[in-house]
Amino acid sequence: MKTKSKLSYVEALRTCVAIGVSLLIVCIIVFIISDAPILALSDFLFGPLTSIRRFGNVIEASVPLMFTGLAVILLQRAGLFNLAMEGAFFIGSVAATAVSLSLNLPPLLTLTCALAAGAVAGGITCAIPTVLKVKCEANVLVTSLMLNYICLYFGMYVIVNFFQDPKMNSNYSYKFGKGVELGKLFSKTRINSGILICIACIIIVWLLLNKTSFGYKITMVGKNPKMAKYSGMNIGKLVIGSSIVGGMIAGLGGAVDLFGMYQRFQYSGLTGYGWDGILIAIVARQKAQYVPFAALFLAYMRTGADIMSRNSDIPSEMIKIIQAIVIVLISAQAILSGYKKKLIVQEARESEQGA
Amino acid sequence: MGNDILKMDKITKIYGNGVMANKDVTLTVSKGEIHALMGENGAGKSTLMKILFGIEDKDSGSIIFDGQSIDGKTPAEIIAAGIGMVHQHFMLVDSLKVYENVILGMEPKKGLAINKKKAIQLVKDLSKKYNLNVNPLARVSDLSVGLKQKVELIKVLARNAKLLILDEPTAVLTPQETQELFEQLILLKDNGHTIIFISHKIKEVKRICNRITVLRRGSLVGTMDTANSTEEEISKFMVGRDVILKMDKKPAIFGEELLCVRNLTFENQNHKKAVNNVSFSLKKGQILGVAGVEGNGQNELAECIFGFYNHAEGEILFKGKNLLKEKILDIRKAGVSYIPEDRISTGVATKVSVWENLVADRIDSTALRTKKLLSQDKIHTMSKKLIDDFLILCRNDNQEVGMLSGGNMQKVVVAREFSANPDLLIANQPTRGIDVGANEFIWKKIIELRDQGKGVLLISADLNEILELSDSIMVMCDGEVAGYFEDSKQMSEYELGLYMLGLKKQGSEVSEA
Repeated sequence: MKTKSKLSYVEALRTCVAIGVSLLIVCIIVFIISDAPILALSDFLFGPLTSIRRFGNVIEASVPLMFTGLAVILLQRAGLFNLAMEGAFFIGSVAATAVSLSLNLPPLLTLTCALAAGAVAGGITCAIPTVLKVKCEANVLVTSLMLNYICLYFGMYVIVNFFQDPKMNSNYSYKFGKGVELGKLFSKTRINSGILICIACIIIVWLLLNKTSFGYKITMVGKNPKMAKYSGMNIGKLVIGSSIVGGMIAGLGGAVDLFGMYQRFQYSGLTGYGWDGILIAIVARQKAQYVPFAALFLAYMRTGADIMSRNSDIPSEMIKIIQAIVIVLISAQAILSGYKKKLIVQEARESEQGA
Repeated sequence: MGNDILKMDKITKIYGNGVMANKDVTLTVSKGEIHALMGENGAGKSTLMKILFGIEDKDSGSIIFDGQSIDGKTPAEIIAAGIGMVHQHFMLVDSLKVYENVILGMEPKKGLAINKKKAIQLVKDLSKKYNLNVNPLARVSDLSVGLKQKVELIKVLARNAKLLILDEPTAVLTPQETQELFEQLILLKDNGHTIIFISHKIKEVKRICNRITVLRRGSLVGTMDTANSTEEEISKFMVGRDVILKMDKKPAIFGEELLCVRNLTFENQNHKKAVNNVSFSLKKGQILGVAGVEGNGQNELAECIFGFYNHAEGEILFKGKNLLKEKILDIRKAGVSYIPEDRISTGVATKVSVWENLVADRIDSTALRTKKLLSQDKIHTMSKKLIDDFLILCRNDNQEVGMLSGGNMQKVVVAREFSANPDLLIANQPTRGIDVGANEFIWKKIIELRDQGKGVLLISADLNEILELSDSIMVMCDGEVAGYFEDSKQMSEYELGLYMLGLKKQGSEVSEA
């Protein structure tokens, strides 16, 4: 029994080793390119903890990551490589903008409708590649990637043609109505009530995956579609269902980000949060309950890098490199495989003796 | 016998999933003998042979072949050293001709081109020498299973193999083809070849093998002379306890008609009528065995009834209701359960836990919930009960199914399908490739089900299984019903073989019975 618990640690240990190694590589790079490496590194590693505002930045930055991380977990649970969450996040914020600027209702009601519209738009977006897959055998990877561009340009079209504020030089929309915002929760930070929606989503996704037959079924479809079919599951419905729910969370994430952080629509391109969601899902090992930790980790790294780049001679591009290294290392199954094998062998011998 | 051609000494192999497949196994094979390697599935026979062949690395031990160490050699070097293997699933290129398959990788050249004449002659010579009659110019896809096996043998012999390994060669053969194979093997032996014959069919081993090495759960049980051991003794060695290979069952009491299939026809992807105008009926309390050489439509028949395809034609009346074109979920709800042919691809999801596999068909049931949400307590209570009832050997119900042995994996499938309390069970190769212990257990469960007045459609390539379990037998050949026999007791393996091969056929009116 002892080795069994050790075995379950191997996964966690592997994530830690991957992160440790990538941090080590960061240190080496910083030492090579910086004139004041110690200072830069301490900014990077501890900068986010030096003030409430900075720590607030970490929390704020983690919110959209949690949404897209959850979305990716749902999208991939059913075994399809649907990457439309990037477009869904964007189109979610566009739909929310459109609804909030079109409705003339009390602020809270407008806000609710706008958030709902974001979720619905996101759900539809992510369902498209899956429906195409189920009905026409179209490759999900290709269709979802292309769909992201459609989302971007369609979204920009909507904003520029119907909601652009002519007083602004960029493609910014009009300001949202008074009170149509997610209120701040703490002074000195921009942490807003969006985080509560986010926590609710984490709980809902956890419940969905662990406590409902829908979650169980999409897992089985992802693990062995043939067996799922033979067990009586409707595979088409399930994969489309998981795409819709995943898309809704991504779309809602876009809307929450919009009303929490901005007063008007001002994205000029895809946000990249969708892609980050893949990283979050990997680091969180596809489990909803680990998403906050993964998102906080990434947000912390970004905030630290931001501080470092402002205070030192290290460019913030460096953080992109670090991220890439982390992804590579975490997805590398072989790390510690020798150790894992040793544990397994040990366990096999022990159970042999026990028998 | 004295002079050993092969000595595998203290071989140990542990797979990445923690399965100890071989543990200090020693195998010594003398020159010029037919040596049987026996054991339940999962006993480590295939692993041992893969290690010999250089396909798997061993964790410890040494191998000496023909006086030389072959540790750490590649499969190509081992073939060159004179070891050849006929795999259970043939390694042939269907679209090529026989001689092309034989020379693949060792083509005789004439300049840059292949010397076709020489290649054909080579095949002809080998055919003649070892009495393996195959037309070198025939296309492999047109050959029967028995002939394909001969091509495999020629292929191995063309590479000058001194030691031939045959992995369950009779599994896919009819009794007649098996007989022929045995004659060829004896001829090979007389020509100075050594053969390792992997099997778990005791009768066959008794017939042609000189010595037997038995493995059980990865360990060596022992090596003995065939002449001095009885079938019961060998069986005891294999499972470690006495097992009745015969099945005692009460006489059948047939009830009313449960399933009636009429003119069922199914065209597969290649536009071949895999199931061709099949009609039969099954009563309550009846086990109807479907015999046939594999690939003659039995699998498709089972999958048609269980709703895998939506373009089958005909009628499948179950309790008077047509199941044709119904969804699998509705067929299950109507009271049909199915043990699929391939447990790894269809029967279970290997990457998930035992409990997740056990609840796959009933996850929507309210019995597994408290207040609409799944209750882990209730699920685990149920899965633990099934593990106990069906004697599934696992660490606990959170263990990955892929970590279990074949027999226990199959018990997971059986536990799920039986506990759904079906009125009709379709059992497609229910005991293929599992140990005798699990085999006996599943047989008992099937007969219990029959005695409760349920119907069982038993599809098996194992004639022994068909004859032991079935009350009535239907033989399929080329997608059609070749024969129907209301009383299975009047049939012998030999006679069934004639129908399986298409040498005998009843008029279709008989099969209406």
